[in-house]
Amino acid sequence: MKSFDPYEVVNAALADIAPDVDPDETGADLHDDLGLDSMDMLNLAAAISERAGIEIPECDYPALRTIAQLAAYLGEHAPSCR
Amino acid sequence: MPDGAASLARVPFTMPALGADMDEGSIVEWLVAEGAHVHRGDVVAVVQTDKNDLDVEVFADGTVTELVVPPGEKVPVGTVLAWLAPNGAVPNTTVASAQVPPVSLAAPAPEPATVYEPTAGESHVTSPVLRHLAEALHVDTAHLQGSGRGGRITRDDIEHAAQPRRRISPRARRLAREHGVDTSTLESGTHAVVGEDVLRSVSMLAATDVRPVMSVPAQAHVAPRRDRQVAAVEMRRAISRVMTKAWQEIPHYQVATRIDLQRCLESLAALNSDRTAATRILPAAVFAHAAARAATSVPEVNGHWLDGSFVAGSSVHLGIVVALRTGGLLAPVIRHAADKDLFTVMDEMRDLVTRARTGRLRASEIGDATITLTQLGEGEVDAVVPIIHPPQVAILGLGAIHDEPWAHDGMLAVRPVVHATLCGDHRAVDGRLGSLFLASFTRFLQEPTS
Repeated sequence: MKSFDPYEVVNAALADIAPDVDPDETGADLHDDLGLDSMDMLNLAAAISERAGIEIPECDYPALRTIAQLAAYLGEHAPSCR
Repeated sequence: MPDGAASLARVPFTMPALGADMDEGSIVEWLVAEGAHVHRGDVVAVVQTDKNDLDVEVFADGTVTELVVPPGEKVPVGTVLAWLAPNGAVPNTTVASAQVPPVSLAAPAPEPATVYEPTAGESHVTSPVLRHLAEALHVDTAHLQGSGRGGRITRDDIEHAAQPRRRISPRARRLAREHGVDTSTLESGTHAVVGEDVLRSVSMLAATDVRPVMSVPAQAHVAPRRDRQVAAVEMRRAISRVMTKAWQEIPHYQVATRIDLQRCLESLAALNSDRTAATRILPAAVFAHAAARAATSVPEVNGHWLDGSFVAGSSVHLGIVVALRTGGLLAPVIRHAADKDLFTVMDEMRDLVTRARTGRLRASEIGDATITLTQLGEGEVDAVVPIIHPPQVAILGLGAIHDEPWAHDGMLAVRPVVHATLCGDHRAVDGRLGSLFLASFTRFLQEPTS
């Protein structure tokens, strides 16, 4: 299986749903600092799930608040990102 | 086929009024080329208004014979942007490219003083070719004022006269301008277009079905959009204009209530427990769905204040205020929202919000809302008292869901609560109906999935 850089997956999903967000802000809180609302966060989770081929359970959402956290999560859970 | 018959059959594609306050706009890019076959609902151009760039659909089937207005040129609403030959008509490029003055709503022609009455008169047309053309176009040349040398009637005169010419009352013109209605599309039978025709059209527009959507090749969408800062400044101006008008003209009243969401959120959690991110339902959609259904039970808040009277919406078209991170806001519309189930409302809302934020809304997706919902559901704001978006007569504002002390069965409990404020236009609807709306909204929230 081809391996993807988890940051690329997150940034591509982010570019789709919130192109105005700076992908270099990897440590900023997507909700509090970058202004994504619940609809955006849901879209982001769906877009990442689709791209990475995994489902992110809702119970994991609270720990996924930054680009870096999302990328690390993919590196850990998504077979295509290892 | 006589020369000119194709021009009779051709259909103009005009600069649409994308909002009540739009006077002019420009093409950002054409998504079709001359010769392209288009179908009703196809996106053919991106139009730049002072608020946003919007994908604009065509409302006829046919072939694009001429792109009249090049990208970048600012033109008034109603200007012919392109010509189409309807299916079945043979496009005649010679005629199609003839110089026909564009029809413009924003700069209306002087009121025609007379109705053409056919009388037996001598034709002033000497050229057999032009006489033929006049016949084909059913133009009575005896009453034409020639613009050629010595008052001679020219090809332009005949083609101009062949444009559908109708009498339009000054009130109809004013209403059409106010509501962005293209008077050439109005049906008035054989009579002059009057104000009622425009008002009927406005309420019919509000009831128009969701139009078919064509998928546009991805690369057609990568053309550079205009500078964000410029867009933000122009959107600010538009918001300033509309809101100032609303604040000055509409006597707002507000009724407010607090709503216990415990039961609602429990139902929602149960519903979402086995759903993936792509199919999960958010409270925002539950609010939208309940608001739309409440508008059905209190139809007096759902509609438009037009020319001094209330015109009830024939369906609930719910405007959803979307705040943009780059500043400004947009209000795309969920059409027939009360007739849709919660899942459909959620799907449409997600799609509209995403495309509002990524600059990909279609022209048919904004405007014509019959009532609007604004939610400041994510921040620290408990309540919002919004301003009505004319010509609507009501707007529902919701604060953030937060825990509050709540008296229940003589005991003090802590409950998730939302503050709901309905602002109504007192010219159209009284506070009693506003409170009935809130009561109905509260009831629908208790059974979100019913």
